[in-house]
Amino acid sequence: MNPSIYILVLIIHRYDLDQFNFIISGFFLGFIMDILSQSAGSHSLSCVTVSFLRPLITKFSLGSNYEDFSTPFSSGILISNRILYYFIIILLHQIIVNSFSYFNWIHTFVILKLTILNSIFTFIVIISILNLFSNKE
Amino acid sequence: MQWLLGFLLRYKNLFLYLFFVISIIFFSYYQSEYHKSKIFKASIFINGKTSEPLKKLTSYFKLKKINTRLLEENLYLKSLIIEKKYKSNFKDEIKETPFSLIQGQVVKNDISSSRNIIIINRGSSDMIESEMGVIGSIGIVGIVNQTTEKFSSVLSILHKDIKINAKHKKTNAFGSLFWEGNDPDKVKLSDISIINKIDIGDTIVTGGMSTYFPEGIPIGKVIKVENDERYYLLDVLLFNNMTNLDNVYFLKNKNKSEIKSLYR
Repeated sequence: MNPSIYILVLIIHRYDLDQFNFIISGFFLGFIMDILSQSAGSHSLSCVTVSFLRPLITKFSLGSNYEDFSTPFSSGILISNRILYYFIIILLHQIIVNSFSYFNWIHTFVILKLTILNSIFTFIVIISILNLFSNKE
Repeated sequence: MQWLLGFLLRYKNLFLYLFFVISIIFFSYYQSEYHKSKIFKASIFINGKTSEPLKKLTSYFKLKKINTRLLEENLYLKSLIIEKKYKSNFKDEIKETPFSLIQGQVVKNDISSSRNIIIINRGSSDMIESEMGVIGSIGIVGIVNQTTEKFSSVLSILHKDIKINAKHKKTNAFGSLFWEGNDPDKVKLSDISIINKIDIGDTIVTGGMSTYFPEGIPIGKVIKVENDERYYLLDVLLFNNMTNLDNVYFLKNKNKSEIKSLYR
């Protein structure tokens, strides 16, 4: 199992900034990961896709009034919505990373297994980090 | 231009995303051999699927060109057949066949009268002369009667006044081929001596005893055998369907004038 902690950057990025720059940032984040892990572009593709689809994910998980919030830590967001938001991003990221790495229908079962396990593990690690650095008294 | 700019700006995020996705695919193509082979296979599949209907569409518009090319190919193959048959008659020495082919297309074809004439879109400007033999795709058609600059009239084998030298392929027995004026698919072959054995289904070919046709061009097959104790009278079913002629070939005999001069 290999948690992708760097996805935290895409999760905590502010909602009210320009998405164009966010997609570029997402691409370079994934690209650096690809260079460091010598993968064939799976991290770049997943990060770009997550950054492109994040407005839809936000709308789906935080509800129709998602524009009222500027960050996922804004007050007023239900804990269940916040968890859903984290989980969708992590799951989407893992599906793309594993699918692109294996790139074959024959390995569907392995892709699903790795996606689920890595998503759970990444989710636990990310929640822990967020709680660790939480500024709540 | 304004509209295009507005469109690009409106969907700039989508275009940026697609640009990155394509860049990543290129990156993975050069980075990993595994991805390279997979992407290559996928591209072949997509290419095949998209180019198939496109090719079907474009091939429809190319039909005329293809048809012309096939006619040229037919012309070449027919001339090869004639040359081969001619050379097989001269085993000891290599001789060039005196016959060359010119392709033409039927403009008008009559079968209703007893003296039928075919008009073909090749004339004196295409080196067509009178008394040239004309063959179709699988058999003989007739003999050139008159020519203008662009067209020529051909006496069809379905013409009562025409007699063509023909022979029984198996026995090489010669006779005269003529049309009685009834069925457009049947002709008669007479003057073959009964000492030759002829069966129904045997092939009749040109005799090569005239300047019109080389030896061995198929004419038809025997469907009825009659005799008058001395000569056969055969009913021959033509190979060529004379009612739907389209592409034909003129046979130009280089030795025609030389042979003709001996008759004078």
